[in-house]
Amino acid sequence: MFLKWIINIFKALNSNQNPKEIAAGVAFGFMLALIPSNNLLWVLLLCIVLLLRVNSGIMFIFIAILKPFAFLLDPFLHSIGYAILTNKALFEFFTKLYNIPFVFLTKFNNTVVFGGLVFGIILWIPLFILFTFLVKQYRDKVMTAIQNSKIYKGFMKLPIVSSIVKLSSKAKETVSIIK
Amino acid sequence: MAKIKVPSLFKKPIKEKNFEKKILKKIYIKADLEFIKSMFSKNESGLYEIKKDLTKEEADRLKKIADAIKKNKSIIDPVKPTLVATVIGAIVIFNVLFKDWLAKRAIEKGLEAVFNAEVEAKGVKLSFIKAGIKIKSLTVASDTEPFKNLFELDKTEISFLTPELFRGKFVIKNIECSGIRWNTDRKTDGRIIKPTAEKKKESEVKKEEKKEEKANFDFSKIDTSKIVDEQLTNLKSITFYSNLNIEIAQSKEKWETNLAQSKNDIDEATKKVNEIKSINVNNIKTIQEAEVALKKINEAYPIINDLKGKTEKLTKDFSSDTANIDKKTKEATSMIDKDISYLKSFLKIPEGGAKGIASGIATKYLSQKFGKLYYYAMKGISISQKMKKDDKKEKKTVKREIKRSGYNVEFPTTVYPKFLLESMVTSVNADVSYSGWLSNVSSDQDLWGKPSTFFFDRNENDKSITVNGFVDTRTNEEKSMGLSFEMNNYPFSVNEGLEIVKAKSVAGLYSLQNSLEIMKDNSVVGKLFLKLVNLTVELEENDMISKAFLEAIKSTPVVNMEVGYTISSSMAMNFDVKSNLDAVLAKALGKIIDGFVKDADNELRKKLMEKLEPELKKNKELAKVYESLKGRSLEDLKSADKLKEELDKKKKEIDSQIEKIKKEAEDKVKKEAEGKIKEQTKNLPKIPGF
Repeated sequence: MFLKWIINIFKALNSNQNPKEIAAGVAFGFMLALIPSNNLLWVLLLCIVLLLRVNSGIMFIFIAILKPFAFLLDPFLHSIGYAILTNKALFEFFTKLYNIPFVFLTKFNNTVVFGGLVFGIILWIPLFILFTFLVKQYRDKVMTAIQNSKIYKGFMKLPIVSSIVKLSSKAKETVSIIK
Repeated sequence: MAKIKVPSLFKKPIKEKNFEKKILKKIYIKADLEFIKSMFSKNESGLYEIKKDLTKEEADRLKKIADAIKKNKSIIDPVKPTLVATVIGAIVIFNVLFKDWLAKRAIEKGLEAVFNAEVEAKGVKLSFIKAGIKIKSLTVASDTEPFKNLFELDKTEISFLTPELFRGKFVIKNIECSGIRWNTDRKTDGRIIKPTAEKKKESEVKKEEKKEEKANFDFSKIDTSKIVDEQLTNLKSITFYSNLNIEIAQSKEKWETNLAQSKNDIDEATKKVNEIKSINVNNIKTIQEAEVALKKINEAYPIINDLKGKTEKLTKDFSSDTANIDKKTKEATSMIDKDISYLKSFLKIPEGGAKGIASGIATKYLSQKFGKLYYYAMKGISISQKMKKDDKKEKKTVKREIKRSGYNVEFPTTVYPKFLLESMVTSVNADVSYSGWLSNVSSDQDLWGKPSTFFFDRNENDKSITVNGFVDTRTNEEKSMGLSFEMNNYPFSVNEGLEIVKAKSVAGLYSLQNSLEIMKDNSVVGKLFLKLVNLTVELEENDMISKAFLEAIKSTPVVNMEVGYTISSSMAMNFDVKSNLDAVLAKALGKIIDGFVKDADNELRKKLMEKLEPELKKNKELAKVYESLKGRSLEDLKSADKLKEELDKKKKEIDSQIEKIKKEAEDKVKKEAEGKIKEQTKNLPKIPGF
């Protein structure tokens, strides 16, 4: 499972996919990991993200990796959420929001949920920028270096590897012909 | 050789601007970018065109790049919305096919849990958008009567708050019902919990007992001995006298022993006192002799005091036992009167004799009717309480520790109970027109802050019924239920309790106004005004009594009754009935019935006394013995007092003897001293004068 995830990450990194899609996947993964999932807000966010051109594979991998450790940030998220939710200036707005049918299902009035959402939004832009840069750097430097390395070339020339590659490309062709 | 295919994206010559924007910008791997640039070149028209002699490897790589460019085109992936739309479509289809069925099952199962009987809902249509349910018909079976429905609803529309469903609450804002019927027949047994064979047997026995009660009563054939014999085990006075006699006998035995012991003590003490009494005070000449006598007295004192204390306590305890026995003897006497009243009830004579005939008949009739009314009222309260309990149960199960729980900041909002029916309205205008409403039926009245209220009005020709009331399960409220109802021109027929007037049945029309309140302990207090008109009587025999009864009824065209009643939590009913018919009947039947009542009373008393005779005789004997014990006890007390007095007297005598001896000794010493002084002063020289 874990190996499959790593393969998927490298597959995404090595493909011709827009680095922003991968970075957005990472940023949304962070956000969804921070927000507790037992509410409608999390489901709605996930649905919206799934509609966007975001690398959902990377996103789910990040959610799965970060979710078990998200509770460590709970005290911090609680303090953010509590500070905003109990702000007197926003009381009227939140009261109206709370009384809109179905909105309570988002559990926005929970300090950890709201703190997670706010912190996730704040974190989204820096994470997006950072990972876009990192993906570009990887493709420009690391990937080229690997592809030009003797080990890689030697590995790819191995009879078993080359035959696997040939078989897979043939399979792909067949699929495209059928389609 | 296979033909080399060029991807369609690269087939046509492309402008430089578009080449930059649509192709180069969509390639994110440097090597691929370089490869594409090497594959294209500008033609004479200034457009970018792919080179013509492509190798297979180049064509394959171009295909891969073209696919990646296509994928990287827009922000929204066209495949994903299609998937989402498919999922939504599936949900919609599921809703269309199954939601009504699910709603029907939910209604049936939910109501079955509340009413403990089968529920059938037909034509259920659920709409989440309109937040409503439409039901063609709803039938709720009775949980007590096997082939009866508790109620039936015709076309009904329910509007509820959908958001609250997601909070696990069912809040009905309004129910509009086009028709409602009660106590209708059904073909199958609708009870969920059916009575066991044993219970069935019990109810059959009860029915038989009832049949026996209905047996006709004939004045001339009263067998008082039979009544007494049959009810012997239920007569309290016989058992009471028997127990009382056992108690007296035990007490007698106890006091005989105690008094014998006391007698011994007194004899002992008397010996001692007699010894002291034999001391002759005049023979005591010296202080030493007096002290010896005094010592003897002082030694006797504690014994006498102890005896006195014991005797006093004995007398006190005895008096208390005697008082207890006296009290019980009095009780036993009143028990005889109660037994006579009890036995009289088997003669089916009204409580107040001839003056209470109408009231008596009414009381019996009302007891049955109110028993049913009380049952329904209690059912209403218990359903309301059951909902409350279920609500609390749910709350308990919800309490569990959730990871990453945080803290919920609460904002002002309407908090609904688990179940709420804010309003239900029904109205029909036909030959039988009726209207009604039910409001604030909630699973937690404490939370909702309002009691459930209801109103019902039914009119059929000149008959009408109006019911108005509330059910209150709030913790701090005194009353569980309040109910007032008015009925006009309803037919009635009474065929029980009429033996006294020798009638088979009395029928007519009645109008009533009733108001009652049920307290938290399930006791009921209420008042009823009853008006009976158009009375017809079917006589059993054509004798003097029945004729007099018929005349009395004819002479009273309107019978008014005022009934004050209470029902205790143990279902004991007490009716205070006042009626204008009582006086009329008393006048017509007074002499006959009162005479009969007196004779029956005497006869029953005689028979009961015969049964009581052995116990009474025993009681008399025991009382005599007990009386003698009382005398002995008092004697003992007197003896102890007397001994003490004698002891005191002797002590006094000895004390005065001691005083006397002391004085004599003093005088003697004084005289001797004076003589000596005189002798001494004789030889003294005389004092010269001045």
